[in-house]
Amino acid sequence: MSASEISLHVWPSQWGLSSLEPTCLAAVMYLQQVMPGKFSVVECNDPDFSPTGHLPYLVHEHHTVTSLGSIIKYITGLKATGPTRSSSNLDSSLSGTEKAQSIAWCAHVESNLGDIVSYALYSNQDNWAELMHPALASLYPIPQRYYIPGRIREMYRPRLESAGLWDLPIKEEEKKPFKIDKSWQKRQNTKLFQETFGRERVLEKARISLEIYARLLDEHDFIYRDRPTTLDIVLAAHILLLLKPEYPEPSIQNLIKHTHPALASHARRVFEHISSCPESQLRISSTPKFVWSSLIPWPSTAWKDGLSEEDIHFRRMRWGFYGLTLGSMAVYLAVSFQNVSRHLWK
Amino acid sequence: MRPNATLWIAPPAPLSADVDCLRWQAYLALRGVPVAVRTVIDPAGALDARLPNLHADDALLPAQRIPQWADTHAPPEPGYLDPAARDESRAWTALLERTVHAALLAATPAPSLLSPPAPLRALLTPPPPPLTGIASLCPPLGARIPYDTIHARYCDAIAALSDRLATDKWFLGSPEPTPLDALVFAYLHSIIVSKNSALRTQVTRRVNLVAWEWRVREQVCAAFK
Repeated sequence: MSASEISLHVWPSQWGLSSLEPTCLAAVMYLQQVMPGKFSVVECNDPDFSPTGHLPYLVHEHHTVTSLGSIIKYITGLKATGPTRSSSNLDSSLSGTEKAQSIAWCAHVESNLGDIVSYALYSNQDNWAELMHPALASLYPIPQRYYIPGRIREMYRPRLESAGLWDLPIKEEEKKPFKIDKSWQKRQNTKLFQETFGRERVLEKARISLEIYARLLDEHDFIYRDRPTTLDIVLAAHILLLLKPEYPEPSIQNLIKHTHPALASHARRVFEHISSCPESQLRISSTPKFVWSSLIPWPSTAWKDGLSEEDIHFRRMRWGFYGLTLGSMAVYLAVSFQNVSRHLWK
Repeated sequence: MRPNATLWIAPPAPLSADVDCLRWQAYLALRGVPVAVRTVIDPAGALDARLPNLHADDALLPAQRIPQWADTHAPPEPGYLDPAARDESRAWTALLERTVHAALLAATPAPSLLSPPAPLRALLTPPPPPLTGIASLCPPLGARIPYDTIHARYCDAIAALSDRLATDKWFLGSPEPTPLDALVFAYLHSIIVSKNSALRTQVTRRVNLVAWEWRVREQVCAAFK
Protein backbone atom coordinates (compact mmCIF):
# COMPACT_ATOMS: atom_id res chain seq x y z
CA MET A 1 0.00 0.00 0.00
CA SER A 2 1.43 3.40 -0.87
CA ALA A 3 1.49 6.27 1.60
CA SER A 4 -0.50 8.54 -0.70
CA GLU A 5 -3.55 6.24 -0.48
CA ILE A 6 -4.12 6.50 3.28
CA SER A 7 -5.05 9.84 4.76
CA LEU A 8 -6.07 10.41 8.34
CA HIS A 9 -8.28 13.44 8.95
CA VAL A 10 -7.88 14.92 12.44
CA TRP A 11 -8.32 18.11 14.39
CA PRO A 12 -5.30 20.38 13.79
CA SER A 13 -2.08 20.22 15.77
CA GLN A 14 -1.56 22.42 18.81
CA TRP A 15 0.88 22.76 21.72
CA GLY A 16 3.53 20.60 20.05
CA LEU A 17 1.10 17.66 19.67
CA SER A 18 -0.30 16.22 16.46
CA SER A 19 -3.89 17.09 17.40
CA LEU A 20 -5.77 18.98 20.08
CA GLU A 21 -8.33 16.18 20.58
CA PRO A 22 -7.39 12.98 22.46
CA THR A 23 -8.90 10.36 20.10
CA CYS A 24 -7.39 12.14 17.07
CA LEU A 25 -4.00 12.27 18.80
CA ALA A 26 -4.27 8.57 19.69
CA ALA A 27 -5.13 7.73 16.05
CA VAL A 28 -2.07 9.61 14.76
CA MET A 29 0.20 7.96 17.33
CA TYR A 30 -1.20 4.52 16.50
CA LEU A 31 -0.60 4.92 12.78
CA GLN A 32 2.87 6.34 13.43
CA GLN A 33 3.67 3.21 15.42
CA VAL A 34 2.34 0.60 12.96
CA MET A 35 2.95 2.26 9.59
CA PRO A 36 5.40 5.16 9.91
CA GLY A 37 5.77 7.20 6.76
CA LYS A 38 2.99 5.28 4.99
CA PHE A 39 0.11 7.65 5.65
CA SER A 40 -0.59 11.36 5.53
CA VAL A 41 -2.34 13.54 8.09
CA VAL A 42 -4.98 16.00 6.91
CA GLU A 43 -5.69 18.74 9.45
CA CYS A 44 -9.40 19.37 9.33
CA ASN A 45 -11.15 22.20 11.19
CA ASP A 46 -14.65 21.15 10.11
CA PRO A 47 -15.90 17.76 11.33
CA ASP A 48 -18.93 18.18 9.04
CA PHE A 49 -16.66 16.78 6.30
CA SER A 50 -16.75 13.45 8.13
CA PRO A 51 -19.54 10.98 7.25
CA THR A 52 -20.57 10.85 10.92
CA GLY A 53 -19.66 14.43 11.84
CA HIS A 54 -16.80 13.18 14.04
CA LEU A 55 -13.07 13.30 13.79
CA PRO A 56 -10.87 11.32 13.30
CA TYR A 57 -11.77 9.58 10.07
CA LEU A 58 -9.55 7.70 7.66
CA VAL A 59 -9.81 7.60 3.87
CA HIS A 60 -8.17 4.77 1.96
CA GLU A 61 -9.06 4.28 -1.71
CA HIS A 62 -12.86 3.88 -1.68
CA HIS A 63 -13.15 3.28 2.07
CA THR A 64 -13.97 5.87 4.69
CA VAL A 65 -13.60 4.72 8.29
CA THR A 66 -14.69 6.77 11.27
CA SER A 67 -13.95 6.48 15.00
CA LEU A 68 -10.72 5.38 16.61
CA GLY A 69 -11.76 1.79 17.25
CA SER A 70 -12.88 1.23 13.65
CA ILE A 71 -9.69 2.84 12.30
CA ILE A 72 -7.55 0.52 14.43
CA LYS A 73 -9.53 -2.51 13.25
CA TYR A 74 -9.26 -1.41 9.62
CA ILE A 75 -5.52 -0.88 9.81
CA THR A 76 -5.07 -4.21 11.58
CA GLY A 77 -6.95 -5.89 8.74
CA LEU A 78 -4.81 -4.38 6.01
CA LYS A 79 -2.06 -6.60 4.69
CA ALA A 80 1.28 -4.87 4.56
CA THR A 81 2.90 -5.24 1.16
CA GLY A 82 6.09 -3.44 2.06
CA PRO A 83 8.43 -3.51 5.01
CA THR A 84 6.80 -2.14 8.14
CA ARG A 85 8.43 -1.14 11.36
CA SER A 86 6.32 -3.55 13.36
CA SER A 87 3.17 -5.61 13.09
CA SER A 88 0.04 -3.71 12.07
CA ASN A 89 -1.62 -5.08 15.22
CA LEU A 90 -0.06 -3.67 18.35
CA ASP A 91 -2.04 -6.10 20.50
CA SER A 92 -1.00 -9.27 18.66
CA SER A 93 1.23 -10.39 21.53
CA LEU A 94 -1.57 -10.11 24.11
CA SER A 95 -3.53 -13.10 25.34
CA GLY A 96 -7.31 -13.31 24.87
CA THR A 97 -7.91 -12.17 28.45
CA GLU A 98 -5.48 -9.26 28.12
CA LYS A 99 -7.14 -8.13 24.88
CA ALA A 100 -10.52 -8.15 26.60
CA GLN A 101 -9.09 -6.23 29.57
CA SER A 102 -7.50 -3.76 27.17
CA ILE A 103 -10.90 -3.00 25.60
CA ALA A 104 -12.40 -2.36 29.05
CA TRP A 105 -9.47 -0.18 30.12
CA CYS A 106 -9.63 1.85 26.90
CA ALA A 107 -13.32 2.51 27.63
CA HIS A 108 -12.41 3.59 31.17
CA VAL A 109 -9.67 5.93 29.93
CA GLU A 110 -11.86 7.47 27.21
CA SER A 111 -14.74 8.05 29.62
CA ASN A 112 -13.05 9.00 32.91
CA LEU A 113 -9.81 10.58 31.75
CA GLY A 114 -11.59 11.92 28.68
CA ASP A 115 -13.99 13.79 30.99
CA ILE A 116 -11.03 15.27 32.89
CA VAL A 117 -9.40 16.43 29.63
CA SER A 118 -12.70 17.91 28.44
CA TYR A 119 -13.12 19.70 31.78
CA ALA A 120 -9.60 21.14 31.58
CA LEU A 121 -10.06 22.40 28.01
CA TYR A 122 -13.73 23.36 27.79
CA SER A 123 -15.29 23.70 31.21
CA ASN A 124 -12.73 25.50 33.35
CA GLN A 125 -13.36 29.16 32.63
CA ASP A 126 -9.74 30.34 32.88
CA ASN A 127 -8.44 27.61 30.59
CA TRP A 128 -11.27 28.18 28.13
CA ALA A 129 -10.87 31.94 27.95
CA GLU A 130 -7.08 32.05 27.74
CA LEU A 131 -6.09 28.76 26.13
CA MET A 132 -8.73 26.75 24.26
CA HIS A 133 -10.93 29.52 22.89
CA PRO A 134 -8.02 31.40 21.26
CA ALA A 135 -6.64 28.10 19.92
CA LEU A 136 -9.98 27.20 18.31
CA ALA A 137 -10.63 30.73 17.04
CA SER A 138 -7.27 30.74 15.25
CA LEU A 139 -8.41 27.74 13.17
CA TYR A 140 -11.27 29.62 11.51
CA PRO A 141 -11.69 32.72 9.39
CA ILE A 142 -14.22 35.46 9.99
CA PRO A 143 -17.16 35.01 10.65
CA GLN A 144 -16.83 31.38 11.80
CA ARG A 145 -14.31 32.16 14.51
CA TYR A 146 -17.04 34.08 16.37
CA TYR A 147 -19.50 31.21 16.74
CA ILE A 148 -17.83 27.84 16.14
CA PRO A 149 -15.72 27.75 19.33
CA GLY A 150 -18.80 28.40 21.44
CA ARG A 151 -20.73 25.68 19.62
CA ILE A 152 -17.93 23.18 20.17
CA ARG A 153 -17.94 24.06 23.85
CA GLU A 154 -21.72 23.56 24.04
CA MET A 155 -21.30 20.08 22.53
CA TYR A 156 -19.36 19.01 25.63
CA ARG A 157 -21.88 20.47 28.08
CA PRO A 158 -24.31 17.46 28.40
CA ARG A 159 -21.48 15.04 29.06
CA LEU A 160 -19.68 17.25 31.56
CA GLU A 161 -22.91 18.20 33.33
CA SER A 162 -23.81 14.54 33.82
CA ALA A 163 -20.32 13.93 35.23
CA GLY A 164 -20.63 16.94 37.54
CA LEU A 165 -17.72 18.71 35.81
CA TRP A 166 -19.46 21.66 34.18
CA ASP A 167 -17.99 24.77 35.68
CA LEU A 168 -19.59 28.00 34.55
CA PRO A 169 -18.72 31.08 36.60
CA ILE A 170 -21.30 32.94 38.57
CA LYS A 171 -22.47 35.91 36.55
CA GLU A 172 -20.29 38.88 37.34
CA GLU A 173 -22.29 41.83 38.62
CA GLU A 174 -20.94 45.30 38.24
CA LYS A 175 -20.12 46.97 41.46
CA LYS A 176 -22.00 50.22 41.24
CA PRO A 177 -20.01 53.27 42.34
CA PHE A 178 -21.20 55.49 45.13
CA LYS A 179 -23.64 52.89 46.30
CA ILE A 180 -23.20 50.86 49.45
CA ASP A 181 -23.88 47.26 48.41
CA LYS A 182 -23.54 45.17 51.56
CA SER A 183 -24.36 41.94 49.78
CA TRP A 184 -21.62 42.29 47.11
CA GLN A 185 -18.88 41.01 49.41
CA LYS A 186 -21.10 38.12 50.47
CA ARG A 187 -21.66 37.16 46.81
CA GLN A 188 -17.94 37.36 46.15
CA ASN A 189 -17.28 35.05 49.09
CA THR A 190 -19.92 32.63 47.84
CA LYS A 191 -18.33 32.66 44.39
CA LEU A 192 -14.89 31.97 45.85
CA PHE A 193 -16.29 29.13 47.97
CA GLN A 194 -18.06 27.55 45.01
CA GLU A 195 -14.99 27.83 42.76
CA THR A 196 -12.76 26.26 45.40
CA PHE A 197 -15.26 23.53 46.18
CA GLY A 198 -15.78 22.82 42.47
CA ARG A 199 -12.03 22.61 41.89
CA GLU A 200 -11.61 20.19 44.79
CA ARG A 201 -14.39 18.00 43.42
CA VAL A 202 -12.65 17.83 40.03
CA LEU A 203 -9.28 17.12 41.60
CA GLU A 204 -10.80 14.31 43.66
CA LYS A 205 -12.24 12.69 40.51
CA ALA A 206 -8.92 13.07 38.72
CA ARG A 207 -7.02 11.68 41.69
CA ILE A 208 -9.16 8.52 41.81
CA SER A 209 -8.66 7.80 38.10
CA LEU A 210 -4.95 8.61 38.09
CA GLU A 211 -4.30 6.32 41.06
CA ILE A 212 -5.98 3.46 39.21
CA TYR A 213 -3.82 4.00 36.12
CA ALA A 214 -0.69 4.30 38.25
CA ARG A 215 -1.47 0.92 39.83
CA LEU A 216 -2.17 -0.54 36.38
CA LEU A 217 1.20 0.69 35.11
CA ASP A 218 2.88 -0.58 38.30
CA GLU A 219 6.30 1.04 37.71
CA HIS A 220 6.76 -0.74 34.36
CA ASP A 221 7.78 1.01 31.15
CA PHE A 222 4.59 -0.04 29.38
CA ILE A 223 1.40 -1.61 30.64
CA TYR A 224 1.56 -5.07 29.11
CA ARG A 225 4.80 -5.78 27.30
CA ASP A 226 8.09 -4.14 26.52
CA ARG A 227 6.57 -1.99 23.78
CA PRO A 228 3.45 0.19 23.50
CA THR A 229 0.09 -1.46 22.95
CA THR A 230 -3.19 0.25 22.05
CA LEU A 231 -3.96 0.94 25.71
CA ASP A 232 -0.57 2.62 26.22
CA ILE A 233 -1.25 4.90 23.26
CA VAL A 234 -4.79 5.83 24.33
CA LEU A 235 -3.64 6.56 27.90
CA ALA A 236 -0.60 8.51 26.74
CA ALA A 237 -2.69 10.63 24.33
CA HIS A 238 -4.97 11.76 27.18
CA ILE A 239 -2.10 12.37 29.61
CA LEU A 240 -0.12 14.36 27.01
CA LEU A 241 -3.12 16.68 26.51
CA LEU A 242 -3.09 17.33 30.24
CA LEU A 243 0.69 17.86 30.39
CA LYS A 244 1.76 19.73 27.26
CA PRO A 245 -0.54 22.79 27.08
CA GLU A 246 0.35 25.74 29.31
CA TYR A 247 -2.84 25.82 31.30
CA PRO A 248 -3.65 29.10 33.08
CA GLU A 249 -5.29 26.92 35.75
CA PRO A 250 -2.78 24.08 36.10
CA SER A 251 -4.10 22.18 39.14
CA ILE A 252 -4.71 18.92 37.23
CA GLN A 253 -1.38 19.25 35.43
CA ASN A 254 0.41 19.75 38.76
CA LEU A 255 -1.44 16.76 40.21
CA ILE A 256 0.01 14.52 37.48
CA LYS A 257 3.51 15.99 37.64
CA HIS A 258 3.90 15.95 41.41
CA THR A 259 1.70 13.07 42.59
CA HIS A 260 1.90 10.69 39.62
CA PRO A 261 5.19 11.34 37.82
CA ALA A 262 5.18 7.71 36.62
CA LEU A 263 2.17 8.47 34.41
CA ALA A 264 3.87 11.57 33.01
CA SER A 265 7.02 9.54 32.31
CA HIS A 266 4.96 6.81 30.65
CA ALA A 267 3.26 9.32 28.34
CA ARG A 268 6.60 10.89 27.36
CA ARG A 269 8.15 7.44 26.89
CA VAL A 270 5.36 6.34 24.53
CA PHE A 271 5.64 9.63 22.62
CA GLU A 272 9.42 9.29 22.27
CA HIS A 273 9.22 5.60 21.34
CA ILE A 274 6.85 6.47 18.51
CA SER A 275 8.82 9.53 17.38
CA SER A 276 12.18 7.74 17.50
CA CYS A 277 11.67 6.04 14.14
CA PRO A 278 13.21 8.22 11.39
CA GLU A 279 10.22 7.46 9.14
CA SER A 280 7.78 8.78 11.73
CA GLN A 281 7.96 12.32 10.34
CA LEU A 282 4.37 13.21 9.51
CA ARG A 283 3.28 14.45 6.10
CA ILE A 284 0.68 17.04 6.94
CA SER A 285 -1.78 18.85 4.72
CA SER A 286 -4.91 20.86 5.54
CA THR A 287 -8.43 21.12 4.27
CA PRO A 288 -9.41 24.62 3.09
CA LYS A 289 -9.97 26.88 6.08
CA PHE A 290 -13.23 28.17 4.64
CA VAL A 291 -15.68 26.59 2.23
CA TRP A 292 -18.88 28.44 1.30
CA SER A 293 -20.91 25.24 1.39
CA SER A 294 -20.04 24.80 5.08
CA LEU A 295 -22.32 27.75 5.92
CA ILE A 296 -25.36 25.74 4.84
CA PRO A 297 -26.20 22.30 6.26
CA TRP A 298 -25.36 19.85 3.49
CA PRO A 299 -24.57 16.11 3.28
CA SER A 300 -20.89 15.40 3.73
CA THR A 301 -18.79 15.50 0.54
CA ALA A 302 -16.70 12.65 1.95
CA TRP A 303 -19.50 10.30 1.00
CA LYS A 304 -19.19 11.34 -2.66
CA ASP A 305 -15.45 10.66 -2.61
CA GLY A 306 -16.13 7.10 -1.52
CA LEU A 307 -18.77 6.28 -4.16
CA SER A 308 -18.09 4.22 -7.26
CA GLU A 309 -19.40 5.15 -10.73
CA GLU A 310 -22.14 2.59 -10.38
CA ASP A 311 -23.26 4.12 -7.07
CA ILE A 312 -23.30 7.61 -8.61
CA HIS A 313 -25.31 6.36 -11.61
CA PHE A 314 -27.74 4.59 -9.27
CA ARG A 315 -28.13 7.78 -7.25
CA ARG A 316 -28.84 9.85 -10.37
CA MET A 317 -31.42 7.33 -11.56
CA ARG A 318 -33.12 7.38 -8.14
CA TRP A 319 -33.34 11.17 -8.10
CA GLY A 320 -34.59 11.03 -11.68
CA PHE A 321 -37.34 8.63 -10.63
CA TYR A 322 -38.37 10.92 -7.76
CA GLY A 323 -38.42 13.89 -10.14
CA LEU A 324 -40.49 11.98 -12.68
CA THR A 325 -42.97 10.92 -10.00
CA LEU A 326 -43.38 14.44 -8.67
CA GLY A 327 -43.62 15.89 -12.16
CA SER A 328 -46.29 13.37 -13.20
CA MET A 329 -48.24 14.09 -10.03
CA ALA A 330 -48.06 17.84 -10.69
CA VAL A 331 -49.26 17.41 -14.30
CA TYR A 332 -52.10 15.11 -13.20
CA LEU A 333 -53.24 17.57 -10.52
CA ALA A 334 -53.05 20.48 -12.97
CA VAL A 335 -55.13 18.65 -15.59
CA SER A 336 -57.66 17.49 -12.97
CA PHE A 337 -57.99 21.00 -11.58
CA GLN A 338 -58.50 22.39 -15.08
CA ASN A 339 -61.24 19.85 -15.83
CA VAL A 340 -63.00 20.46 -12.53
CA SER A 341 -62.92 24.23 -12.90
CA ARG A 342 -64.19 23.98 -16.50
CA HIS A 343 -67.05 21.81 -15.29
CA LEU A 344 -67.90 24.21 -12.47
CA TRP A 345 -67.94 27.31 -14.64
CA LYS A 346 -70.19 25.84 -17.32
CA MET B 1 -36.85 -14.75 55.74
CA ARG B 2 -39.49 -12.03 55.84
CA PRO B 3 -38.42 -8.92 53.93
CA ASN B 4 -38.11 -5.81 56.08
CA ALA B 5 -37.66 -3.37 53.23
CA THR B 6 -39.32 -2.55 49.94
CA LEU B 7 -37.48 -1.67 46.77
CA TRP B 8 -39.33 0.72 44.52
CA ILE B 9 -38.62 -0.24 40.93
CA ALA B 10 -39.92 0.39 37.45
CA PRO B 11 -42.33 -2.32 36.25
CA PRO B 12 -42.67 -5.18 35.64
CA ALA B 13 -42.21 -7.47 38.60
CA PRO B 14 -40.33 -9.60 39.48
CA LEU B 15 -37.54 -8.33 37.17
CA SER B 16 -37.64 -4.65 36.28
CA ALA B 17 -37.33 -3.51 32.67
CA ASP B 18 -35.11 -0.62 33.77
CA VAL B 19 -31.40 -1.45 33.88
CA ASP B 20 -30.65 0.63 36.99
CA CYS B 21 -33.54 -0.91 38.94
CA LEU B 22 -32.64 -4.44 37.84
CA ARG B 23 -29.03 -3.87 38.83
CA TRP B 24 -29.96 -3.10 42.43
CA GLN B 25 -32.49 -5.91 42.52
CA ALA B 26 -29.74 -8.30 41.48
CA TYR B 27 -27.32 -6.75 43.98
CA LEU B 28 -29.65 -7.34 46.90
CA ALA B 29 -30.63 -10.80 45.68
CA LEU B 30 -27.02 -11.93 45.23
CA ARG B 31 -26.13 -10.61 48.67
CA GLY B 32 -28.97 -12.59 50.17
CA VAL B 33 -30.83 -9.57 51.56
CA PRO B 34 -34.60 -10.20 51.37
CA VAL B 35 -36.61 -7.23 50.11
CA ALA B 36 -40.05 -6.88 48.60
CA VAL B 37 -40.60 -4.94 45.37
CA ARG B 38 -43.15 -2.31 44.50
CA THR B 39 -43.79 -1.30 40.91
CA VAL B 40 -46.63 1.22 41.11
CA ILE B 41 -44.41 4.19 41.94
CA ASP B 42 -44.14 6.98 39.37
CA PRO B 43 -40.50 7.98 38.87
CA ALA B 44 -41.52 11.60 39.43
CA GLY B 45 -42.33 10.65 43.03
CA ALA B 46 -38.92 9.10 43.71
CA LEU B 47 -35.87 10.79 45.18
CA ASP B 48 -34.15 12.90 42.46
CA ALA B 49 -36.99 11.66 40.21
CA ARG B 50 -35.04 8.45 39.65
CA LEU B 51 -35.82 4.88 40.55
CA PRO B 52 -34.89 2.67 42.34
CA ASN B 53 -35.42 3.84 45.88
CA LEU B 54 -35.31 1.67 48.97
CA HIS B 55 -37.99 2.09 51.62
CA ALA B 56 -36.49 0.70 54.82
CA ASP B 57 -36.43 1.55 58.52
CA ASP B 58 -39.01 4.33 57.98
CA ALA B 59 -36.65 6.08 55.59
CA LEU B 60 -36.47 6.37 51.84
CA LEU B 61 -32.98 5.85 50.46
CA PRO B 62 -31.61 6.66 46.99
CA ALA B 63 -29.83 3.95 45.01
CA GLN B 64 -26.30 4.97 46.02
CA ARG B 65 -27.08 4.33 49.69
CA ILE B 66 -28.35 0.79 49.16
CA PRO B 67 -24.90 -0.86 49.72
CA GLN B 68 -24.53 1.01 53.00
CA TRP B 69 -27.96 -0.20 54.15
CA ALA B 70 -27.23 -3.76 52.97
CA ASP B 71 -24.02 -3.81 55.06
CA THR B 72 -26.15 -3.47 58.20
CA HIS B 73 -28.48 -6.33 57.21
CA ALA B 74 -26.17 -8.89 55.64
CA PRO B 75 -22.67 -10.29 56.06
CA PRO B 76 -19.97 -8.01 54.63
CA GLU B 77 -19.25 -8.30 50.93
CA PRO B 78 -16.56 -10.88 50.24
CA GLY B 79 -15.02 -8.45 47.77
CA TYR B 80 -12.86 -9.07 44.74
CA LEU B 81 -10.01 -11.50 44.41
CA ASP B 82 -7.31 -8.85 44.87
CA PRO B 83 -6.84 -5.05 44.50
CA ALA B 84 -6.03 -5.49 40.80
CA ALA B 85 -9.39 -7.20 40.27
CA ARG B 86 -11.13 -4.38 42.11
CA ASP B 87 -9.48 -1.84 39.79
CA GLU B 88 -10.36 -3.97 36.78
CA SER B 89 -13.99 -4.03 37.91
CA ARG B 90 -14.04 -0.24 37.47
CA ALA B 91 -12.92 -0.64 33.88
CA TRP B 92 -15.71 -3.13 33.17
CA THR B 93 -18.19 -0.87 34.92
CA ALA B 94 -17.16 2.00 32.63
CA LEU B 95 -17.49 -0.26 29.58
CA LEU B 96 -21.00 -1.35 30.58
CA GLU B 97 -22.29 2.03 31.77
CA ARG B 98 -21.00 3.89 28.71
CA THR B 99 -20.58 1.65 25.69
CA VAL B 100 -23.28 -0.95 26.30
CA HIS B 101 -25.69 1.54 27.83
CA ALA B 102 -25.27 3.86 24.81
CA ALA B 103 -26.17 0.97 22.52
CA LEU B 104 -29.30 0.22 24.58
CA LEU B 105 -30.36 3.86 24.47
CA ALA B 106 -29.61 4.11 20.74
CA ALA B 107 -31.89 1.12 20.17
CA THR B 108 -34.74 2.97 21.94
CA PRO B 109 -36.89 5.06 19.58
CA ALA B 110 -36.27 8.77 20.13
CA PRO B 111 -39.24 10.95 21.16
CA SER B 112 -38.64 13.17 18.12
CA LEU B 113 -36.40 13.13 15.04
CA LEU B 114 -34.66 16.35 16.03
CA SER B 115 -33.91 15.50 19.65
CA PRO B 116 -32.21 12.24 20.51
CA PRO B 117 -32.52 11.07 24.11
CA ALA B 118 -30.59 13.49 26.32
CA PRO B 119 -28.87 10.70 28.31
CA LEU B 120 -27.43 9.32 25.03
CA ARG B 121 -25.67 12.60 24.24
CA ALA B 122 -24.02 12.48 27.65
CA LEU B 123 -22.56 9.02 27.03
CA LEU B 124 -20.85 9.53 23.67
CA THR B 125 -17.15 10.21 23.21
CA PRO B 126 -16.54 12.52 21.40
CA PRO B 127 -19.88 14.33 21.86
CA PRO B 128 -22.22 14.38 18.85
CA PRO B 129 -22.21 17.52 16.70
CA PRO B 130 -25.47 19.31 15.89
CA LEU B 131 -27.62 17.99 13.05
CA THR B 132 -27.33 21.33 11.28
CA GLY B 133 -23.53 21.16 11.37
CA ILE B 134 -20.92 22.96 13.41
CA ALA B 135 -19.91 25.44 10.73
CA SER B 136 -23.29 26.30 9.24
CA LEU B 137 -25.03 29.60 9.88
CA CYS B 138 -28.15 27.78 11.07
CA PRO B 139 -28.62 27.62 14.83
CA PRO B 140 -27.54 24.26 16.22
CA LEU B 141 -30.43 21.82 16.22
CA GLY B 142 -30.57 18.13 17.17
CA ALA B 143 -27.53 15.88 17.21
CA ARG B 144 -25.84 13.58 14.70
CA ILE B 145 -25.73 10.28 16.51
CA PRO B 146 -23.20 7.84 15.00
CA TYR B 147 -25.34 4.71 15.27
CA ASP B 148 -22.90 2.55 13.30
CA THR B 149 -20.03 3.51 15.57
CA ILE B 150 -22.12 2.87 18.69
CA HIS B 151 -23.08 -0.58 17.41
CA ALA B 152 -19.48 -1.45 16.44
CA ARG B 153 -18.23 -0.51 19.90
CA TYR B 154 -21.08 -2.47 21.47
CA CYS B 155 -20.08 -5.60 19.50
CA ASP B 156 -16.48 -5.25 20.72
CA ALA B 157 -17.69 -4.78 24.30
CA ILE B 158 -19.85 -7.92 24.26
CA ALA B 159 -17.02 -9.96 22.71
CA ALA B 160 -14.64 -8.71 25.41
CA LEU B 161 -17.21 -9.52 28.12
CA SER B 162 -17.55 -13.07 26.81
CA ASP B 163 -13.78 -13.57 26.57
CA ARG B 164 -13.24 -12.28 30.09
CA LEU B 165 -16.00 -14.38 31.63
CA ALA B 166 -14.85 -17.56 29.84
CA THR B 167 -16.04 -20.41 32.10
CA ASP B 168 -15.79 -18.61 35.45
CA LYS B 169 -18.67 -18.85 37.89
CA TRP B 170 -18.49 -15.15 38.77
CA PHE B 171 -16.85 -12.31 36.92
CA LEU B 172 -13.12 -11.74 37.34
CA GLY B 173 -12.83 -15.14 38.98
CA SER B 174 -14.36 -13.94 42.26
CA PRO B 175 -15.35 -16.72 44.65
CA GLU B 176 -18.67 -14.99 45.49
CA PRO B 177 -20.93 -12.61 43.54
CA THR B 178 -19.81 -9.00 43.52
CA PRO B 179 -21.52 -5.71 42.54
CA LEU B 180 -19.98 -6.15 39.08
CA ASP B 181 -21.89 -9.42 38.63
CA ALA B 182 -25.14 -7.62 39.47
CA LEU B 183 -24.34 -4.93 36.90
CA VAL B 184 -23.40 -7.44 34.21
CA PHE B 185 -26.57 -9.44 34.86
CA ALA B 186 -28.72 -6.31 34.59
CA TYR B 187 -27.29 -5.42 31.18
CA LEU B 188 -27.26 -8.97 29.80
CA HIS B 189 -30.85 -9.58 30.86
CA SER B 190 -32.01 -6.25 29.41
CA ILE B 191 -30.30 -7.08 26.12
CA ILE B 192 -31.69 -10.62 25.94
CA VAL B 193 -35.27 -9.44 26.49
CA SER B 194 -34.80 -6.43 24.19
CA LYS B 195 -36.85 -6.27 21.00
CA ASN B 196 -33.80 -5.17 19.03
CA SER B 197 -32.48 -8.27 17.29
CA ALA B 198 -29.13 -6.70 16.39
CA LEU B 199 -28.36 -6.16 20.08
CA ARG B 200 -29.79 -9.49 21.15
CA THR B 201 -27.87 -11.53 18.58
CA GLN B 202 -24.51 -10.34 19.84
CA VAL B 203 -25.25 -11.84 23.26
CA THR B 204 -27.20 -14.94 22.24
CA ARG B 205 -24.43 -16.16 19.94
CA ARG B 206 -22.13 -16.37 22.98
CA VAL B 207 -23.08 -19.50 24.86
CA ASN B 208 -21.19 -18.70 28.04
CA LEU B 209 -22.97 -15.36 28.46
CA VAL B 210 -26.39 -16.91 27.86
CA ALA B 211 -25.72 -19.75 30.30
CA TRP B 212 -24.36 -17.35 32.90
CA GLU B 213 -27.34 -15.02 32.59
CA TRP B 214 -29.75 -17.98 32.83
CA ARG B 215 -28.12 -19.24 36.03
CA VAL B 216 -28.02 -15.82 37.69
CA ARG B 217 -31.60 -15.06 36.61
CA GLU B 218 -32.85 -18.16 38.40
CA GLN B 219 -31.10 -17.03 41.56
CA VAL B 220 -32.45 -13.48 41.33
CA CYS B 221 -36.01 -14.55 40.47
CA ALA B 222 -36.03 -16.97 43.38
CA ALA B 223 -35.21 -14.10 45.72
CA PHE B 224 -38.28 -12.14 44.58
CA LYS B 225 -40.88 -14.89 44.52
